Amino acid sequence: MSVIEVHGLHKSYRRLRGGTTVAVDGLDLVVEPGGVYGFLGPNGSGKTTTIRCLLGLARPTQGTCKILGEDSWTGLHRVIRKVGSIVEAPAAFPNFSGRRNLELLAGIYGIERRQVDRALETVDLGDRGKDLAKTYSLGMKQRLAIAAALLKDPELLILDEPANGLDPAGIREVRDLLRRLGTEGRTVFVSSHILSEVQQICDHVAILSRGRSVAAGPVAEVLSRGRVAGMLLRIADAEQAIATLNAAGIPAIRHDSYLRLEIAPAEGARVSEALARRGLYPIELKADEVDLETVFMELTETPAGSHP
Amino acid sequence: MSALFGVELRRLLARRLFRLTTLLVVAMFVVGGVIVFFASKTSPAEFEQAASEREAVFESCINSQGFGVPSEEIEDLERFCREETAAMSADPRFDYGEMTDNLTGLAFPLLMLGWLLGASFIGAEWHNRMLTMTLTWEPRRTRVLLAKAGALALVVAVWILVLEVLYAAALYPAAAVNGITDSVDTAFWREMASIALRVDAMSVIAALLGFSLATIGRNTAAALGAGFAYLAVIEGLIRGFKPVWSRWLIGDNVGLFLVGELNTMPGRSRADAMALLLAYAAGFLALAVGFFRQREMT
Repeated sequence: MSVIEVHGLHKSYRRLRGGTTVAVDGLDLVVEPGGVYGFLGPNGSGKTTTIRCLLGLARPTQGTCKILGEDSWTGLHRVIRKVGSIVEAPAAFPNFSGRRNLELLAGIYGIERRQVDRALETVDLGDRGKDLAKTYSLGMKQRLAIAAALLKDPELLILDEPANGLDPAGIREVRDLLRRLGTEGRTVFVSSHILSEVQQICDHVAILSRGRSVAAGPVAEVLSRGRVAGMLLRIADAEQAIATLNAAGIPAIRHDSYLRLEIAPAEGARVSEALARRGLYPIELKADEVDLETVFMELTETPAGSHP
Repeated sequence: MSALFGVELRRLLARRLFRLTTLLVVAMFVVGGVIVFFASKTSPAEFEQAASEREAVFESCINSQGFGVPSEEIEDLERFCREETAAMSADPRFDYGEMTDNLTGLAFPLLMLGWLLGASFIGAEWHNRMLTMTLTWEPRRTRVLLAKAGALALVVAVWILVLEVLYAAALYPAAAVNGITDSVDTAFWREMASIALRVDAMSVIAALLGFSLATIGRNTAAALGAGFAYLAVIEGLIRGFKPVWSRWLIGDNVGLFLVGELNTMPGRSRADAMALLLAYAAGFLALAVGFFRQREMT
């Protein structure tokens, strides 16, 4: 059974002055159990709205959202015990301590106090647990929210921008934590705009643009989508190298200060061999790796003049 | 549901507003008790003069069979004259028999406290987005809201009752040591208990109305503003331009329930007033639940 199933999700809001704003436009999404699933998209692409629909906080205009097999609007209470979540900015009662905030939530399911302590320790708030939440920095509030999400020892974690407000060390801790949670058999569904982080921790990814999924699948698959594998070559005599490589059946074109070769990195030896025969020696020869940011920008870039 | 109710109880009791208000009100009672204690103290000469005045008024009352009041309206002539004496004599001492009026006079501030606590209880959750957080733990919205309303009703009921007891206790030493406790008997305490319970019931209703309005308006200020506008403007306008409608006003029905009868509502009983106010509270709560069930949470 899929842990998250979204089919044909539409969500639109009426504007005060008439008309509607479409936040999600026919989204389909399936998340299988285990691992870390990245949910990417530029601001306003519908990530948070989707998460709100998943958590029963907003009602889909059309389509269905299911979590652990239950409809999010009508049957979520049957599985919510197994779902930990953060939605947008971290929420806490400012005049209660971090610990009291967690204890009140824990009371809903009779979760023991030592689990509150453990959750605080996990997010490195053990020493500040008795301080009022209003004295916390944004990063600490974010960590408190993560602790709240972990309190239920959930099968599924739905985290909306969990690294928001964290310093580099905090981001790294969250990254390690999510990675660890993902390998413990839980499913972590995380929305983020920090693409390098997502690339490092996620097994699968979906990229959202204007309320639609424009790419989804294993990270490596999404990265290679629409791309011809290639290599980058830096060499002193570029003109002669192009002629030599073309003659050897290896297409080569100028690409900034490099030549881009349309050949799989695994076949790099063919390049060296062809060049060496003509007495040409590379300064640098490397795989042309595509990062998630590049793919993300390509997939979500809005063509000029296509804004509504 | 019971766990949720317990959590809401704990949260309400831990609220700073609740604790500070309690401290403040109790401090005011204590200060008031001390002031009355010393104000009630009289010099021997003042005491003698007041005593002779009282004695004269009392005798006059007895001799005139109750100052001409029809005998069928007087159950107990001696008690009636004692009360009349207290009302008419210039005795500077504090008479604990006046506590029934004092407690009734305390109703309005206590109702406002209930209203404030109810409105701010849910208003703070909207403000801090904790309702959203709670719904990610218990998505059944009706349960969530009813657990909160139930906890609020229980806390306000106990809280207001305790405040009333403390109020009565704070003023008792002044009467017992320096004042008058002649009219303190079983009937007096029965009357006190009856007033206290009526004020208590009205405070719970006020709290639930404030809670419901803050749920619908999504913040505390909305409920406080709506309450002020209703009591200060709308009720005034209706009394002025459509007096026949005043039998449906919250203020008039609260007044009727507290004091027993109002000229503006002949024939309406306390039970009628209570039933109407309960219906208002239930109606607004149902409206709040309906609103909350459909509301998109941000």
